[in-house]
Amino acid sequence: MSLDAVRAFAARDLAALAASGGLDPDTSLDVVAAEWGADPQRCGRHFLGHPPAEAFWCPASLAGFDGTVRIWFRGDRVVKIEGQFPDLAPDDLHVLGPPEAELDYRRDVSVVAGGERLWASRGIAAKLNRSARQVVALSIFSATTVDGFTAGVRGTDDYREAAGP
Amino acid sequence: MTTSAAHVTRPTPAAAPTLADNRPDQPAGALAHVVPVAGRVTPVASPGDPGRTIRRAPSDFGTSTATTLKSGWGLLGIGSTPWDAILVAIRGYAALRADQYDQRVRSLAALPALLLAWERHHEIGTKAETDLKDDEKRKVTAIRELRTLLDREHRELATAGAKVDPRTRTIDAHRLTDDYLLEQVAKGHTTLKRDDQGLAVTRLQQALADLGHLAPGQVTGTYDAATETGVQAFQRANALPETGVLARPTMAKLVEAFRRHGAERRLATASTVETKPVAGEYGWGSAPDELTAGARDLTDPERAAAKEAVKTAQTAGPGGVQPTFVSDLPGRGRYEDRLKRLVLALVELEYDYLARGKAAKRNDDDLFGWDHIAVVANRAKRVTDAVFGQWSIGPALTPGVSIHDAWETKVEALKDVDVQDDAAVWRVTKLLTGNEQVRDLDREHGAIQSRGPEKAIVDRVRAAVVVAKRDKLLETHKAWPAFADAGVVNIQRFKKAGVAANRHEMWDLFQTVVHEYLHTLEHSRYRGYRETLGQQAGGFTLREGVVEYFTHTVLEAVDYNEELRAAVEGEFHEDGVTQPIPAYRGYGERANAEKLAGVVGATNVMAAFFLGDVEKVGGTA
Repeated sequence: MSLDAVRAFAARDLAALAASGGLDPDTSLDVVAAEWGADPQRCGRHFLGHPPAEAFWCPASLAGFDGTVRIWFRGDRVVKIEGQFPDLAPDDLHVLGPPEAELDYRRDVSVVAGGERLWASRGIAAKLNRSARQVVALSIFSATTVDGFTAGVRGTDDYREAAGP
Repeated sequence: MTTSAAHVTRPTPAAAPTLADNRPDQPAGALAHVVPVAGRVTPVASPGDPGRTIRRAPSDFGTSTATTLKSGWGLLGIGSTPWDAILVAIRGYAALRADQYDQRVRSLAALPALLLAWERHHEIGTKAETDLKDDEKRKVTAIRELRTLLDREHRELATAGAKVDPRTRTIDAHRLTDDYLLEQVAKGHTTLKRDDQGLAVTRLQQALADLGHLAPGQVTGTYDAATETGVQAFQRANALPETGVLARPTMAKLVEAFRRHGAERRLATASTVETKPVAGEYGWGSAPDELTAGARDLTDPERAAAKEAVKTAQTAGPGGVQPTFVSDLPGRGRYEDRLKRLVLALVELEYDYLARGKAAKRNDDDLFGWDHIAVVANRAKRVTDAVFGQWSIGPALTPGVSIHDAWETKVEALKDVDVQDDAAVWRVTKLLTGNEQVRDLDREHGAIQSRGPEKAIVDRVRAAVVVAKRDKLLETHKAWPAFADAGVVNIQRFKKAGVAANRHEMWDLFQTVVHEYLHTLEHSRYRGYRETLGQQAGGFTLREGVVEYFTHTVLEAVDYNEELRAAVEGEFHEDGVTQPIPAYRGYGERANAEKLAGVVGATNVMAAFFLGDVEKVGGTA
C-alpha cells in the first residue's frame, strides 16, 4: 500500500499528487486515521456516487486546510479524502493541466455549475467557488474515468432544512 | 387522481339508474332520474311508483319548487317545511351538470342532515310503524329509496375522483384521510360491505392487516369473506357488534387505531430479529426475511395509487380538470398583489421569530454546551433504535463530527457573495412553495405556480421580495433552526431566557435529533429512487414526509420518565418540575407518507426506506 497520494494531499503538493497516480485502492483506513490522528469510530454515514452507495466518513484536522478533512471509507478501505478550504489558489491547479471534466456541485443552497474540476485519471478533484476565485475543496481518490468518478465517489450532497417556524 | 384506482363499485341492478351515461351537458347523477332538471323535458320514473312516469317542462319550474315537484312526483303531497327543504336540495342537486363535481359533493353533503331532521321531526324510528300516517309512510319509503340513490351517487363521485372537502373532513388519521368513500362512511352516509371493490376497500384491508386482523396476502381490493371476518375480528376487539360491515362506528374505531402510530411500532418490532449489530444498511436483498414478513407486492392500481399518494403538487380535480387561474378576485384583489403582500409579511415574521437579536448572542454563556448536546443526541438515538433498530442503525450523531453549529456554518458559507444571492432567493422560494398560507392563496385563485401566467407572476414577486428584504432574509438564513448538508446536521445553540424555556429547547433538540438520525438510516437504494422523482411528484414526501412519519412513530412511544428528563434537560432540570413536552410539528408531508402507508402498508414503507425495497412503495430502482 502506497501513501504517496495521502502525503502529497496533506502537503497540498499538486505536482506530487499528480505524480502519485491517485489514491492507492488498498489504502487502509486505520493507517490513514493513525497518520492524521482521526478516530474511525467517530464517524458519519452518507452516500457517494450515482446511484448513491453507502459510505462512512470520519473527520481529521490537517494544517493547511481551513476546514474539515473527511476520510471517506467503505469497510476498511479509504475511497476518497476531501479537505475543505485548502491553502491553494486557483492558479495552483494549472500544474495539473486542463481538467477532464467540470461538474456541478452544491454548496449550502447554491449549485455551482461546472465548479468541480476533475482530473479523474489522476485521482484528483478540486471545487472552486462560482467566481472561480477560491478553491473550496480538494479531494483525492483512486484513478478512474470521469464516469467511474461519478458512479463511485462523486459527492451526493443535498441540502435539507427543518420545517419553518 | 387515478380514477381507476379510486372508486368503489357495487353490483348495480340492471334497471337502476347509473351515472355511466352522464355527459357534462347532462344533469348530474342518478337523482336526475328522480327529479329532472329545468330546461329539459324528460319522462322519469317516480321512486314511489316505478311504473309511473312523470313529465317535466321548463314551465313547470316557474312556480315554487315544492309546487313543481308535488305536481309531478306522486310522493310529495304535503309541503311541510323540512320536506320542502329536502325538495329544494334534491332539485338543486339534479340541476347540476355531471362534471360539476365539487358542487355535487357539497350539494349531496347537505341532504343527510335534512333527511334526518325530517325523520326526527316525525319521530321515525321511535314511534310504531302502525302509527305513521299514510303520507309519512310514503315519505319514509321515498327516503329509503333516496338513500340508496345517494349511496350510488357517492360511489359514482368516488369513481370520478371526487375529493374530500377539507373543511368538512371528519377523518383525522392521515392514512385514511382524503378517501372520498371512507369519508362518507365516517359521516354515516354509506357503508362498505361484501362484494364492494376498489381502493377504499384496499385501504380498509390494509388497515386491518396492519392491525393484525388480516393477512397481507388478503389485501385484494375486494370485500370478500376474509375481509368480513377481519372486520368482525376488529369489531370484536373493540366491543362493537360483529356485523362484518364497515359502518360509521367501526370506521370511528379504525381512525382511532391509527392516530398514535401504535400499529407501526408493533410492526417495526414484530420480528425476533435482533437489533442490527453494526452501523449501516443491510446490503440490498440481504436483510432477514422475517423483517418483511408483513410486506406485500403491489398490484398495478395500488402502484398508481401509491404514486398519487406521495404527490404534493396541486393536482387536477375529478375528471382531470385543472383549476382555472383567476388573477383578480372581486372584493379580494389581484393574485400578484396579495401574494407579494403575504410573502413580505411572512419574511418579517420569520425574521422576528428566528433572527432578531441573534447576531449579538454568540458568547459561550449564550449557547448550549456541546457536552449537553451530545447527551441529548445519544438519548434521541437510543429511543429511535428501540423502535427501528432491527431495520437499521447508524453511527451516533456526534458533535464535531456529524453535528455542527448551524449559525457558524452559515456565517462561513455566506462569506461568499454568490451564496448570499442564492440564499436570499432560497428563503423566498421556500415561502412561495412551502408555506400553508401561500398554498391557501393559490387554491383561492386556482393558481399553479409552475404554470405559465402564474409562473411569471411568482417570478416577479420573488425578485421584488429578495430586493426589498435581502438583509433580513440572510439573517434568517443564518438563524434557521436546523439543516443538514453533506451528511452533517447543523443545529442552533442559542439559549433562551429562563430555565423552563431552555428545558423546552432541549426537548425540541431531542425531537430534532430523532428526525435527523432517522434521515441517516435511509437506504441507498431508496435514496436513489427518490432522487429520480421531482420534489412535488413525491420526492419531498419520500425524503421528509416518510421521516416525519417515522419520527412520530418514535416520539409517541417515548417514556418521558424522570431519568430521561434529567438527562435531556441537564443543567435546566429541576426535581419535581414536569416540563411539558413540546408538540412535535415538522413537515406536513407526513400526511402524504401516511396516505402511502394506507395503500401499501406500514411494513412496505419500512421495507422501502430502511431496506431499499422501493418496489414496495410503487417505485423502481
